[in-house]
Amino acid sequence: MSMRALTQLEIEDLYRDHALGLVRFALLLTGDRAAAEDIVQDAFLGLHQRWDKVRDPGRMLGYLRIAVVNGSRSRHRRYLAARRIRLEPLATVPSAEATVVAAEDQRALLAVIDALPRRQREVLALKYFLDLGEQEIAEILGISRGTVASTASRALTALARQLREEP
Amino acid sequence: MTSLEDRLRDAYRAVTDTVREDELPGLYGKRARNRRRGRFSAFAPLAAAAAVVVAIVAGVAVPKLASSPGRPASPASSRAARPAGTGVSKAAAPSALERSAPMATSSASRAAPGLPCPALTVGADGSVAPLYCADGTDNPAALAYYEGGWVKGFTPKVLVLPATASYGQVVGAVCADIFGHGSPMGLQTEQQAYDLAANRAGWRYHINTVNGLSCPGAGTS
Repeated sequence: MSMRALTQLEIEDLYRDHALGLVRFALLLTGDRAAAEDIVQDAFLGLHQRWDKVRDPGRMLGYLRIAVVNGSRSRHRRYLAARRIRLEPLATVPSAEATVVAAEDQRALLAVIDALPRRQREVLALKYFLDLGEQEIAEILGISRGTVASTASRALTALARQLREEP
Repeated sequence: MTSLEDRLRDAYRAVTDTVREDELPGLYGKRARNRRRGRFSAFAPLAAAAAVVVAIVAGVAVPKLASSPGRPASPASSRAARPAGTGVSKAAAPSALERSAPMATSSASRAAPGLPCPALTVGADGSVAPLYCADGTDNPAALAYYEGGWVKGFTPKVLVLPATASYGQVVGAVCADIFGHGSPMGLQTEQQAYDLAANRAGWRYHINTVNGLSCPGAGTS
């Protein structure tokens, strides 16, 4: 098997294993399904084009996550003036009262997350959706571990404060 | 009462569960094809009208050019019909000024007698001719057309690859152009974009989008 064919297969494997998680992560950052898919495809295309420059194959997922964060930021800058990011949970809500209350609670929470600064939203998504540690988050966002901790803390404080203010 | 962190995880899960694995496009965006065709079809009447006008102009201008003394026969039409990447010659890239010139302007200037490139003809499918000038270089009007003149703000990825791009990188870019979200590129137009890029860079990759290019996750073109 040629080196080129191997490269192609490796990227296909990566896509198969991680595309879903990355699209979901991008969706949290952008609030737009189509944009999330575009960002992830661009991330894989970027990986494809720089494959020969990647020194540590074990860091592919980290590279892709960084590309998704950067792609989301680029898109956010382009559309910032046009519209706010808006996250929506599943539209179908069962009629059970507890489920309805939970769905309303989630909507309220997501609305508050929408209003957080970009970095706080990124840290929350990396920490509570991808379940990454502070060191990994710091590497992806290019900030210090201490900044990750303080940003997460500020974000949670803001969430708690805003939710208490809700009627 | 669950903690705020747990509620956060649940809320994220509720959002992300809307994305299911079986709905995801392939690596090169299988789902985008319908959207691309829809957008492309909107341009078809305009392209057809433009083709008629340009063909009339070309019908007058090309015979004059062909009869110019000392001028070599244009290889453009035979090059356009040639399979991709076969026997392409390394040629000097056009200047930045030529490449960035608006299509209408460069078409007009190239149509003037004594200059190597005849006027650009736009087909109903969005493809153009000739791709190459008499001296074998890319037709600047064709380049300008694909680098933003056809669909404003859109440039095929294959045209921004460096000359050192590998076969895999070229295939990746071509597939992304064809199947990417919102891309206007069809098989024929992408073949032309590839031919222009290959001629400029001197690639000898045998890529033929029309007669079958395997794009992982998106099947065969």
